Amino acid sequence: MKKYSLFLLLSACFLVGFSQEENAVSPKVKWFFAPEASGMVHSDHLGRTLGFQVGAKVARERLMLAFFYYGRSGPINPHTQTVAFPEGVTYKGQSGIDVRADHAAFGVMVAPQFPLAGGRLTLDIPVSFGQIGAGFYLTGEDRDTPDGRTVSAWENDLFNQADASFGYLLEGGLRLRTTLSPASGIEAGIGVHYSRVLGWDTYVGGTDYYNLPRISLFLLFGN
Amino acid sequence: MRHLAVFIACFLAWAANAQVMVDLQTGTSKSDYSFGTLGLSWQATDAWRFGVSLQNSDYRYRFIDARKVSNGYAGTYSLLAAGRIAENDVFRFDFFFKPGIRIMSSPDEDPEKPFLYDFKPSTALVLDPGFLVTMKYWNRLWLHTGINLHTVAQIKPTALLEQYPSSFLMAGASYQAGKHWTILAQAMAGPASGAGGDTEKFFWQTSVGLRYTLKGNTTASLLSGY
Repeated sequence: MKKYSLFLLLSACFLVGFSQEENAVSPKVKWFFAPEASGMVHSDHLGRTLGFQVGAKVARERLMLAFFYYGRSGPINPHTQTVAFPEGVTYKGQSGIDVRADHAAFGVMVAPQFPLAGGRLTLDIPVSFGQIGAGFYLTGEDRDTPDGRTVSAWENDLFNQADASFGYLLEGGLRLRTTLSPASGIEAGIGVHYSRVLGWDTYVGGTDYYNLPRISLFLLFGN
Repeated sequence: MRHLAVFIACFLAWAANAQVMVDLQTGTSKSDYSFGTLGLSWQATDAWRFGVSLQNSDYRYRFIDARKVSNGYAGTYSLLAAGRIAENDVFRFDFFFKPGIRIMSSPDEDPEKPFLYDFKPSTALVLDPGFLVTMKYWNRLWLHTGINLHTVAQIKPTALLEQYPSSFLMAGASYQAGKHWTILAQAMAGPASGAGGDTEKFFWQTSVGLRYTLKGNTTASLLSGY
């Protein structure tokens, strides 16, 4: 009985091994993935972001539907701004501090697209709806808190519990892209956008900090 | 012992006829001095791949209970499921999902900077969903790009969401060095979003790897990144 069990087990293993032979399927949907770098045009600096869109071209490739994400934070954004604490608040004996901004935006992008110049160029008009989470954070040695409490707890206390906030994002734009490699379906493009944020409010940035133009550079990989 | 021998015999019989891949990878990152990964994956069909991996890190910094700690060790044990979304002669588009458990030692205390907090070893759930694009660049050379939406939830010492889904862009290449061998190189970088935790706000990682495919290489076995 044991011999038969072992034989059946080994046979099953061989069958599983052979069952993987399968032909590739032809894609029915035009998928794309687009890594993106962008600059948020503030009055005194450029906020640098990294992000992506992933989605499909539908309606005979006249419409792009995608999930998008972009965010700014960390060493790619060295800009700091000095902020005074609310009255009576101090941190390591200081009444103010240098902070940096961080930000993440995600949501859905809808973009009608039009071929130009005999198909060598493509114009698309992205309209995005989503959410942002954004705030301001302590940097450098200020992140070593004096009492062992978390940096996040200190940031809450220093900025009236409004170091960061969530809000809704509406964004419209215009993008132009051209094919880099027809054989492998790689395109490169540039875009201008205007972002409008609703319901976002922080101690440092107020409500208007992210109502701004944005310039994007992107690659688009698709089938 | 006999059961183990039967299991090993069965596994070897299966592996000899299945598209099984063994991966060795090493690299460095913003948070790790070095890390090494051993992976075993099975290309079940042209479209689907499943696997397991173990990664050990000699960390530069990590976070326990949202407080930064330095110089310790971490191990991450992961499962993998990956599936093809689209493919043509030069382009392949896959998604992947790599859930895992990260176990982290408590660090040594720095005599110049004594801890103000009693650190305990940490356990966390790591979720790595993402997408991978693969393009044929040359006969044996494939280029890759994609996204890893890295997410971490600490379970112990206290439960907290350490990192929101963060968007790490990936770029890499794989070179088919022989019938069974593939050389892989990859870089990954992006903003890291803290939640109840802390993240140092940005992450980067570079790695090189070697893949041995038991039954010989196919398009699917050239995919790097997972």
